[in-house]
Amino acid sequence: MSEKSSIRILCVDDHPLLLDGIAALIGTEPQMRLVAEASSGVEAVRQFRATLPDITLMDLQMRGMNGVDAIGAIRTEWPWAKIIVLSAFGGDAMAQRALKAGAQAYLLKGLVRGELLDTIRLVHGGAKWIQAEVASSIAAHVADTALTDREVEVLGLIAHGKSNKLIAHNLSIHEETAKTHVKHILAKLHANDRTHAVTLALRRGIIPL
Amino acid sequence: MLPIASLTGRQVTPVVEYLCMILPVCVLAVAHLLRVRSLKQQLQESLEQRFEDRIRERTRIARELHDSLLQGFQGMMFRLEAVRRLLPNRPEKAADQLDVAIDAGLAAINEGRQAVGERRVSGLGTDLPQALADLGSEFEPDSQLPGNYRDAAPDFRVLVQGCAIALKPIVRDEVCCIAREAVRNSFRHARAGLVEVEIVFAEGTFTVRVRDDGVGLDPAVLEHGYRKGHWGLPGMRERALEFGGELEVWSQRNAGTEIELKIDARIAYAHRLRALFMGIAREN
Repeated sequence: MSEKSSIRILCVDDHPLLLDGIAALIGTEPQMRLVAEASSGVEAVRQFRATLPDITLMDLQMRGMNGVDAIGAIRTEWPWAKIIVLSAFGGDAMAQRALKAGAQAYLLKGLVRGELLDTIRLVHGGAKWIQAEVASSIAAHVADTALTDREVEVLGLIAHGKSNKLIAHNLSIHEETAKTHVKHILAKLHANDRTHAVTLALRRGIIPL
Repeated sequence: MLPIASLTGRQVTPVVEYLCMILPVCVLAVAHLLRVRSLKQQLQESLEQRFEDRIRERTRIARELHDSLLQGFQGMMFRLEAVRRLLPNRPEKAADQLDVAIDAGLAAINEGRQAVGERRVSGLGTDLPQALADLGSEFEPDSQLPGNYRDAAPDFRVLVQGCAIALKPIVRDEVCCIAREAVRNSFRHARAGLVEVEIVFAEGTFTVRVRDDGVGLDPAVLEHGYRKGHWGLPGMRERALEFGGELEVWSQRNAGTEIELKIDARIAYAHRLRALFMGIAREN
């Protein structure tokens, strides 16, 4: 197989063991070639510019610029870019953000047995692909009232172990206002308490881990 | 005048006596009530604090599990899939990949164990030098791996200055984690000939330095503070700050890297007085 006709791939993930594994897998497929790796969003954009790959495999949760922002940045500059999200999380909120930013496919790392190479081929051929598990989690919450940006912010602070008083201080709002936010968050997520809300929000990808 | 005075005196005295009796009781009662209220409030605050701490701890464990165990295993699954594909036509290549997969699995288990708090540190604070010395053997076998870690293993040594003083358990665990991450970076990325850990038990400050004579940090890494994988420099710094430590990084291209963790004696040592005493004893 000549190099010209092989699918050129950029892999973005901040865990070396994962990059190694994907490199090994792609290495077994003569029609594909891993041309670059990146471990952060900023590096991903830089490597994209340097190699202009056919397919980008993108993790979502990384230090610095995260995957969703990187997808947005890449698609703004190169609207033809084909990006497959390869995430550890199937949360509906996270998946929706990635797809809105311009990803063509969404795969869960834990459920890709035999699927990764096929998906790369599919997306390279112009198709879109969302795993059934991801699609059903999006469907399950499609009618829910979404959290406001402020509520997401408050939720993030709760996950960091902040009390209402500290949340109020951090956001320069009144403690009563913070309490109201928390009440709305619990209601919207159908959570019993703060811990439950954080667990649900992490699972759905509303706040990053 | 006198009878009136004595009369008034006789009339006033019971009131004064009564007041003298009742007033201290009132003061005591009020003081008691105030104390109960303040204790209640303290209890409430400490309960809330414990609740917040629990959420934070859960988030931390989830994050660390994700960073280590899960990502490691997911990486290994891709590698096993590669093995599966190689097996029919290129069995030798498949065997090589399997070796790497086995080692990656072990590494992931080790990291996961640390993430859930089952640290490798033994029960005694004075064992810190030993725990850090063990780090060398923990990372060395990787150098025999095919592929990614092919560089020869650097020499590794631990230097201790001063008499070992017991650290607070939580500080000891954190110090171990941070030092471990630094040693790992030196072994994995620095292409160093020597990796050195220096532990200084001083009277006012406890210090750990991890240094290597390797290629130095990429300026971009120094600037942005992160590098490929794990929790890297910002993680170390964040961790150090969380328990009141200070982390300094010094690095120069092709000259090496030194990471210094300083902790005030009041935070670091389990028995501050003993530390002081030993300091004085040493000076004399």
